[in-house]
Amino acid sequence: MLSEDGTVMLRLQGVTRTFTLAGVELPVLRGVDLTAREGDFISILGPSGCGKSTLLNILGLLDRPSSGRYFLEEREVEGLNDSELSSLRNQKIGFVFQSFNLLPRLSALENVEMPLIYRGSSAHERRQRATELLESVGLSDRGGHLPAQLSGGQQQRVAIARALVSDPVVLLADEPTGALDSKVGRQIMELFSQFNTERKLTIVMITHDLDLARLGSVRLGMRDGLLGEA
Amino acid sequence: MLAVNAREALRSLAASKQRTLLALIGVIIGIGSVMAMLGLGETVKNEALRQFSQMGTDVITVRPGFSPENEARRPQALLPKDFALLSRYALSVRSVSPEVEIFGKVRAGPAKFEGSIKGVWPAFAEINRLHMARGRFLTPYDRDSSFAVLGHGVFNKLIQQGAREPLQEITIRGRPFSVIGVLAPAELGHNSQMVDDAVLISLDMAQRYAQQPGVSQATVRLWPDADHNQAGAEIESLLSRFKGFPLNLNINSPRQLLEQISRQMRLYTMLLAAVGSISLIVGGVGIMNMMLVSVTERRREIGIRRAMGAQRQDIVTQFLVESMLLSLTGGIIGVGLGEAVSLIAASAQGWQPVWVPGAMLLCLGVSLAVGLFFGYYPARKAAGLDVIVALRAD
Repeated sequence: MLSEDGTVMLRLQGVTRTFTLAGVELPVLRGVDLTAREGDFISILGPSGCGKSTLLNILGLLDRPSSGRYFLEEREVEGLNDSELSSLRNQKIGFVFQSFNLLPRLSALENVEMPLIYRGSSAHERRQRATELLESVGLSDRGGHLPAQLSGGQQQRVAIARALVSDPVVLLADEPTGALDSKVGRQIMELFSQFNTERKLTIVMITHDLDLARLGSVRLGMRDGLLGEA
Repeated sequence: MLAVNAREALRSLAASKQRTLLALIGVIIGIGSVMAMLGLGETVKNEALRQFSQMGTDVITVRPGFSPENEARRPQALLPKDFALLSRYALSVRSVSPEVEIFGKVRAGPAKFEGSIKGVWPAFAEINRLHMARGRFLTPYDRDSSFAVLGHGVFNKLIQQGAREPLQEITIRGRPFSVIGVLAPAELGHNSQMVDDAVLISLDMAQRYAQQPGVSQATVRLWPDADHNQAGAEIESLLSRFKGFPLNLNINSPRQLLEQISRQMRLYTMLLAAVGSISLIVGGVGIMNMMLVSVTERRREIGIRRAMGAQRQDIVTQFLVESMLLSLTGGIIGVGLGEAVSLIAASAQGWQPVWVPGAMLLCLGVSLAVGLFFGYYPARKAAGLDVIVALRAD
């Protein structure tokens, strides 16, 4: 169920993305419309290769649409340069990856602090904010551990804390439980739900697991580059 | 931000110790050899200057210049009496010894050689700070005596060739001379070689042999506070006045010689430092190689940082900090090692060790510049990576 009121956090209008491989045009997204309002938990279901990741890359400002329009907080993203996109990623977008993607040489706390470095926060501010976030994912006692010293579930919690440390407009999750066993995966999903309901965090998650997709407030399916009801 | 960069750079360097060490060695050798060359060059220069200044910087040499006018006026060439006047009237001149030089055969028993015989005034010994190994030097009372004083080199040569000791008599151009003294080896100085290899007789005696009555050169000792250039001008103008026509003189001061030596040493040092900088370039290439490998290995990290909002410039800075930290570390060790080498070499030679803070700073600056220069390309490459591709890298 899409909420009809509330602030629009992001909006896609007829977004296409076509890759050219060895001279052959390969349309991956073929006109995607999507609106996410504050507090939506959108799960996008689809088989691999259907264009889910490309969609997420576009939403995360890592890729640009071939055509169509993308509004982030009602601001059109088209035409922004690399530096402006980097700043937007830093301030508006939180990423959670399947493989956690923590930096192996940094402690959990330093990993969470990392995005704040790129916006010039003071060391004190960074520490304080990162500590808060680690606490909110239940890892306040693991701040000094290196990723390799943490379990998979703990690593993903650190990654979630890192994604949320900059207070983003939207959290983009790419198969966040794909590398975890089902029990731990469920705990991570509970964390997502908790942030979604308690903090009105907007989440867009892609998955190929129907059970997980059910947790979202909005379920969409993707097939052949088009988005529809699941 | 820079502090965070430096901390993470240290960790990243520490994480690949072997590679870091290999890259470090290149820089250490490069900077170390440049530093050692600069330090040694400075030490040698100082040593040469010290020795030369010991031998007396207050002595200048005056020679008639070779010009058509001088050739035409040969009969009026500079005579000993002109220099007698000079020592009386020139304010900057403490003492003078004109010399008349002749060449001829010298014999002592079976020993003989062809060489330089100098007619000098008694002041010659004091001016050139000569010491006697035995006997005595010429005095004003020996003007008309067939007395000879042998340079240290000449004496040795004659003895080697079988002259019998004590050497009491030699012949010069067939005329007998009594040997009244032998000089001690002359100290290093601008006249030392010439004095060691000469037979000294009185100026008046030499003039009888010489085809020309003219003086071949004069050594002049100045008062300690005299300025060399002013003294030279005074000598030239006074002698010109005595002769009644403008003279063209060659005036050499050891100070000029010192400057020449310094210049040569500087050139020599530069040359050595240039050789050192070639190994520095090799070190820099080592850094570049290591950083390129590092960028390839850390593509994923770069992708993650970019996804979290790092600007391209942030990535460039991160890698530059790393390469500069590496090269600066190599530079510090290299400077220490190079300085140590030059100090050890100096003390092994018994030279005064010299600290060269300027060269040390220079070397540290150069090592930073090497890190910046050779780190820039890998850093640009890291920043230019496609984020999506980088995120997918192993």
